[in-house]
Amino acid sequence: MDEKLNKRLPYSVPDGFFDVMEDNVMAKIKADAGINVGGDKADTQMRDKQYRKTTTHTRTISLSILAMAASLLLLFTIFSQSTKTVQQANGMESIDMAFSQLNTDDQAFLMEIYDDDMFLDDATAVY
Amino acid sequence: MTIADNDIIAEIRRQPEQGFRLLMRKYREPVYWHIRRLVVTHADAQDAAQEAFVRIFKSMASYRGNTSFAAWIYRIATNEALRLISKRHDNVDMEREGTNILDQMPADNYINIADTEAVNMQRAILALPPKQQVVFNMRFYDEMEYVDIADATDSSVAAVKTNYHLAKEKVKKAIIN
Repeated sequence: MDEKLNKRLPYSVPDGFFDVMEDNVMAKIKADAGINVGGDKADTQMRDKQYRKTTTHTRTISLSILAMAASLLLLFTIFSQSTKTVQQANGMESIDMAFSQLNTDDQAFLMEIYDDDMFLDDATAVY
Repeated sequence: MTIADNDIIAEIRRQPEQGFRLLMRKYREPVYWHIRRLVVTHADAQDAAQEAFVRIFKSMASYRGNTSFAAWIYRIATNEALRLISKRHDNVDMEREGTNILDQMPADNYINIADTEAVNMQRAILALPPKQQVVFNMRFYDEMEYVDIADATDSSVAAVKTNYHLAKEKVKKAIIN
């Protein structure tokens, strides 16, 4: 009966596969036993350590730059706000001073003009 | 010239790495092909065969010599293949007629679907329950003694002979049809 059955398989393997498999097994056995295989494990550990060190440094530098930028932005915002307030105050004071130096008729004339000035009203409006 | 198993065992005890390389030189192909016939794909066979050899190495101290060395190695290899199939199907019933994985496999570079005679033979074997597949493959392809197959499959010689006879008849019937 057996002569009717063929032992040929429809399967194959890549060239040099069995040597690769043997090397893989030996490497795994050594790795499991904690033995360095040609320094590979030591190299990997060193690379991991360097990667972690570099990552930590990069993170520290990034955070420092971010903190400095935030501080500068805060300072600039506070400074620009205070300058604006002083400028606004200076502008109003000088106008008030000039206005007070006018005689009564001129003051009345200006008040009459600016009371009807729609653009002057818009300029003071708050949006 | 093939090195005797006793010499391999002695060499492993003396120089584990060198001795184990001798073991692999002798058994790497039979073990791989035994697993490959069960799991079908090259990638799975590679994984299972590598894992089997690692287990063999780790278990060397437990080999007592009360079965043949080949039977002991085939037992570990068979368990590894069945473990992989079990993962693939969640649960393998050893006595149940298996579903045919070869029909579900896309052709890859390492399965020659064009060889219909060989494919049909494998299809017939893969349709057997897993335990009958194991027994049939060990006897038909590897030409192992019944007693070694019994040791490898944790069965009696009578059970192995019965399983082989049943498997052979089923394969023959499938091939003729």
